[in-house]
Amino acid sequence: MEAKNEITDKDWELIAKSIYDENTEPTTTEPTTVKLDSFVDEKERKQIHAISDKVDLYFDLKKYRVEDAWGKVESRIHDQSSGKQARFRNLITNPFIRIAAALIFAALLLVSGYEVFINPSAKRNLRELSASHQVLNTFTLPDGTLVSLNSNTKLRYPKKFGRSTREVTIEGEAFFEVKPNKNKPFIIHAGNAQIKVLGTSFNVNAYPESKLVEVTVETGRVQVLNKTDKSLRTNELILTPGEKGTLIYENNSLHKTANQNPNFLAWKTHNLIFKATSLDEVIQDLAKVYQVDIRIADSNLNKLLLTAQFNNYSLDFILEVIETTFKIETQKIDGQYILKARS
Amino acid sequence: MDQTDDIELFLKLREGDERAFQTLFRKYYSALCHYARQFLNDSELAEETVQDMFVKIWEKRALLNIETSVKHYFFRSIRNLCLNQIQHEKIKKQYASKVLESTPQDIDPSHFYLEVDLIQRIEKSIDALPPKRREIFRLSREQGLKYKEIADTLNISVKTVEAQMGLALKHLRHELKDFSNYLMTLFFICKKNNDRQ
Repeated sequence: MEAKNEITDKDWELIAKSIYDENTEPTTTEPTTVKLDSFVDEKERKQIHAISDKVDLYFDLKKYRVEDAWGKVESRIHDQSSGKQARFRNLITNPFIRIAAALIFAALLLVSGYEVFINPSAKRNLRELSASHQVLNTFTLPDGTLVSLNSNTKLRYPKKFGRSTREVTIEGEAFFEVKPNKNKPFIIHAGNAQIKVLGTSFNVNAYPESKLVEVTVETGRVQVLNKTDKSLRTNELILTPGEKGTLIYENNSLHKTANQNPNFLAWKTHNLIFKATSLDEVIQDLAKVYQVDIRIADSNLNKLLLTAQFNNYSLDFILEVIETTFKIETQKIDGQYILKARS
Repeated sequence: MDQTDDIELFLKLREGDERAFQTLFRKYYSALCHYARQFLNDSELAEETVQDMFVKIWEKRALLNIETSVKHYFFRSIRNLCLNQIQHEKIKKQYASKVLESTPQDIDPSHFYLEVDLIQRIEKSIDALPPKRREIFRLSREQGLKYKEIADTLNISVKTVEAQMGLALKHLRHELKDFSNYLMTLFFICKKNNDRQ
């Protein structure tokens, strides 16, 4: 099969030169005319050429960044499935992977009680960061953007961002401090909304069950887009600091209001400010920040106004302050806090 | 073997299995881009076209019917998409007909696509080269430098480049020996099949 007499190194040099060096004189003649000392038959020549072609093809193909491309295609197909075809979501995830993921997750919870979960799954390019019962503070994304996740929140991001955009998908609530990059907008897919920024900080609240997306801006400018509205530009908002954009799924409305709630970031900071805030609003904030169920038993307590500032205090301390201020009492029944007038 | 794998993956993809979709994507993405570049002469546009194709395939997965070869189906789709794109630009219409004429009707994916195990073999063989030889070979094949340019870059003589390239080729030929036989058989089988059609 192979040439019986070995090809000498000198001949290999000549063969290589005939194939590889474009600098050689413009001899359009076939490389077969290279004068060699040893005998190389036609078949062997063909094989050498076939191999060098394949090796060249290998280098050509290596130039394409498959992982980046997959990231883009994946986010595109997920865009669609998050809309009307949401049911496909369940079909596409392999149940075994799910179970495995759940097991790892449970193991992590046992070990640390702290639920950072980076899901390598089948998609090597896409990472999933999730916070289940606790807040996950300040995680750094590949581009330097900082993100904090509220509990029950999932963030999906590529291991490496694409060439033209930085795209992530979120389910739940998160605060972003986006690293400025004029050439690469940062895009967040949140339910039916798409949020686009160049470099700012803002909060996104997009828990699927609440059927709305809220974006509250701290610094910079943020664009919010209703993805389900096909008519371009009619459903787009630009938000500036202190403004809040809300997309309500039910009537497909996207509107802008001034942010009334100074505590929109308290889930992250645990700094709560109340200025003549009614008690029912106070407990809404407390429920959200401390992830508890609180309810007022007597509706006439709703109107009580509280003015106070709590910087990183425990829930029990805050409830104690409320109890003494309004002379009411708190009971804890089946994990639920109930506020009622003192008997 | 590869063919039945593809059909299996395709059937899974049709049922909405994203992992099967991803496997096919990884397997063919680069090759299809490389192929699309032939028509479009613009690698970014080529990549976009291939990404569009995959997104479309995902969207229409339930309606797809591929009975023969998934590979050929992909290559054919890319060819059509590229020609459509060229034709869309009216000014370049003439160019389109020229491309149509000059590219053969029958597509031979083997000019663009490498089997996964062959990629691994090539990678291994290149890694096994002594560092200096590997660097020279890489500059030639990956960076497309001429012998003289390599010599200048590395501050060595052209003679050394010649000798090292010869030894690199010898090594690759040796390492990929059985593959070249395999390639030839494959070539003949394909040829026979094509002739029969």
